[in-house]
Amino acid sequence: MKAFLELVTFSEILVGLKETFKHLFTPSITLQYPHEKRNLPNGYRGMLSLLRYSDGVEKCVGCDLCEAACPSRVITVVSAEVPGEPTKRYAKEFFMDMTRCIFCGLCVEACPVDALGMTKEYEWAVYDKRSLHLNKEQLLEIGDRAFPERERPVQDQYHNVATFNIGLPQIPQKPS
Amino acid sequence: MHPVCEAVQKAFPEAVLGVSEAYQTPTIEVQRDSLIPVATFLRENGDMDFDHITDICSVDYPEDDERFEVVYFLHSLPHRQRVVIKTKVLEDDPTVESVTSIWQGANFLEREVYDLMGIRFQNHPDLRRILLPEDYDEGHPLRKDFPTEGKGWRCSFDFFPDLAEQPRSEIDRDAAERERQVFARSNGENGHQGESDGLQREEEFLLNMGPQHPATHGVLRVVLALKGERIVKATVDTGYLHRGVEKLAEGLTYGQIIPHTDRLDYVCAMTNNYAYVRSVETLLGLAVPERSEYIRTIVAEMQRIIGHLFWLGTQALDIGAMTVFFWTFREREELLDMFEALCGARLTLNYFRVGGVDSDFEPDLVARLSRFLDEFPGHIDEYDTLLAKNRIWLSRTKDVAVISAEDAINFGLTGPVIRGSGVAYDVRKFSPYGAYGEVEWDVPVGKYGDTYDRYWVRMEEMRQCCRIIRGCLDRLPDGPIMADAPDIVPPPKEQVMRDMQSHIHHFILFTHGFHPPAGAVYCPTESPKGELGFYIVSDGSARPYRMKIRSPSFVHLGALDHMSRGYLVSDLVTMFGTYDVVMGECDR
Repeated sequence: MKAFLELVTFSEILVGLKETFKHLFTPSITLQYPHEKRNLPNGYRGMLSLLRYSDGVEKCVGCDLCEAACPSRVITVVSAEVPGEPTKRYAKEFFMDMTRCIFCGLCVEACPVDALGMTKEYEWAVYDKRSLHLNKEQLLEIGDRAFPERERPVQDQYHNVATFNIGLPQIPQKPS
Repeated sequence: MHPVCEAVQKAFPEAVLGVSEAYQTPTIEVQRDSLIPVATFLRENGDMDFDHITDICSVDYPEDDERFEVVYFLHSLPHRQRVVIKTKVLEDDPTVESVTSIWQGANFLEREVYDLMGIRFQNHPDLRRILLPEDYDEGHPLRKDFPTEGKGWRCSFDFFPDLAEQPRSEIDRDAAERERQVFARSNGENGHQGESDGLQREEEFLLNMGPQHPATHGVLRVVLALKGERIVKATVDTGYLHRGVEKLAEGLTYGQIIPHTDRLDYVCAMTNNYAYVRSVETLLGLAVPERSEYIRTIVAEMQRIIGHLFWLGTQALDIGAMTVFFWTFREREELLDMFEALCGARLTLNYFRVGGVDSDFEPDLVARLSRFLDEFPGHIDEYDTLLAKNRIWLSRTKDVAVISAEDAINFGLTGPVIRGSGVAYDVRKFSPYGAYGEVEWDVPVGKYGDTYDRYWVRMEEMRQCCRIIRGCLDRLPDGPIMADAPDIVPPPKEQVMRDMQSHIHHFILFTHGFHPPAGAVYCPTESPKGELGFYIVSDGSARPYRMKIRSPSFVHLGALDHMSRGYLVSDLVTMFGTYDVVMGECDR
């Protein structure tokens, strides 16, 4: 009898509708995306960038470790000696083909001097794919924008790093 | 010697070429011609009863006289025993007898071996290419002499319409002569007089479903032979998402493969990472710190909840229930936010490392997770109110896509699909890993093997996931999250620039990688879809010699034809949903 009543009164559907009706009065969790934006956590793996020390010197020493660690061959580094200082090196050219990047963060993990950083930027849709082939200046610009607080030069932080070939006092500008 | 090896050697003294017991798995190498007798013996002998075929793999050794090696992974569910059968094949005559007559699940697996390695299986019912296009004529890509970049082959199918072609000005309104004859004949045979008689002819109708179909959960194509609206035969055409991950992995170091495994089953990236990392650790014989084991278990179960929520939402949406989709995605979002806080990404997580995990649980995250666990069982009840008794849901899922326990085992099905048929096979219980052996939980098992039972199993599994996570959080020990193995695990970042030894290790590990011992290991893991296993053959170098992924979705699709026969076309949508296929994992 009960089963019959449930059958003809569509009771299970009414119970379900009651549940959906309750949800009318719960606060909405939808974000109106282009107008509202989410707060991203600090370790977010977004767009890649190159960083500088607080005195404006590039952190990258051109060791190629990010290139070796990258599983999808995004990075190309051309390393060169700092003119006049034959023991010191820097990245003369640094290319990232962001169309290939899978944002795994292995390059950041590999970098011994923390010269690479992953920003919270993700709105990088472009009309021309070629504009995602970034060079050193563009990557540094992203880094300047996303990480305004810069680390002190390594030689100021630790006193025994001179052997490791970083902390360039002056960096030569790329010949244009 | 292992009793299985002993029994096989006793029964076939001249067929067995060698036995080994590396990594606690009995491995038997047999002569090619006696493969079928040995397989039949293992299947039918009551003491052996290897009823479940897990995977078939092939390895290429170009320098050897017998170039190819075919590897069969068998599993005895009653005795909880695995065995590996290997056989060698000559390059000039790469043929093996097919084992489809013993295990039907071998059908797709053998086709894959044929497609990618070019080994032919005699007496196979339907030996065609499966992942690559059928007109692919550049050879077999997993052979070592095939370049990873490919040979420049492009599909001859012209995707772009010929714009120079003139549009047809007129349409033939008259039916072709051949078609009219069919009508004429049926008129004559029936002897009826009437206008509608001509329409009452019976013939099979071929319907192409997919690859662009919203209900196929990815790019999957099924060619259906229909009789009326009933399915007579369903031919699965996969491979639209084939990226060749197995081939790519041969050129990457072990650490670099981890982000690539994220992209297999992109809904549940953590479990892929887990399965892969566990295989490598087994190969290395590396023990992981206890805290890391617990964290791994917790995130794997969080991922299982996400996977099941995704499945529930999409399956309900396919069948026509929209609200559930919104509600499940609301909870999924909460878990994804936690992943984002944990490792910085939402889907492609890259969280596991060989020897531990990438980042530690913060107290804040633990608090969020326990708050979620308090609320989540209530949400599962909410979904149940909408679905469990709903008459539309019942009529769409009850007695649909039934598969008996026997067939399910024979087809090599795993995960919730086999548990829905009443087989309590769960890798987490059969060979506990992580912290699964230390917390209390149960394996939900269905009864009839229909879609409703599988739905029930997955719902119940989500409740069990909460129990496991709760148990792990209560016992979460303190300690390091990475193993103390300087030749495998990179040193902590802060030490790299301070300490010369760490500096050298860091550079070596990120350029060369680590070198596991030569050997081969198969390691299964229970993913939300089923048993996900990685078979890694190492030759002692820093890159795997061969990596085979046993993906549950691929094996499950092998049973689609069997399960769909006799059902309506609309039930096929239910079937995709009930398998929970993800094509990224299926096509690899």
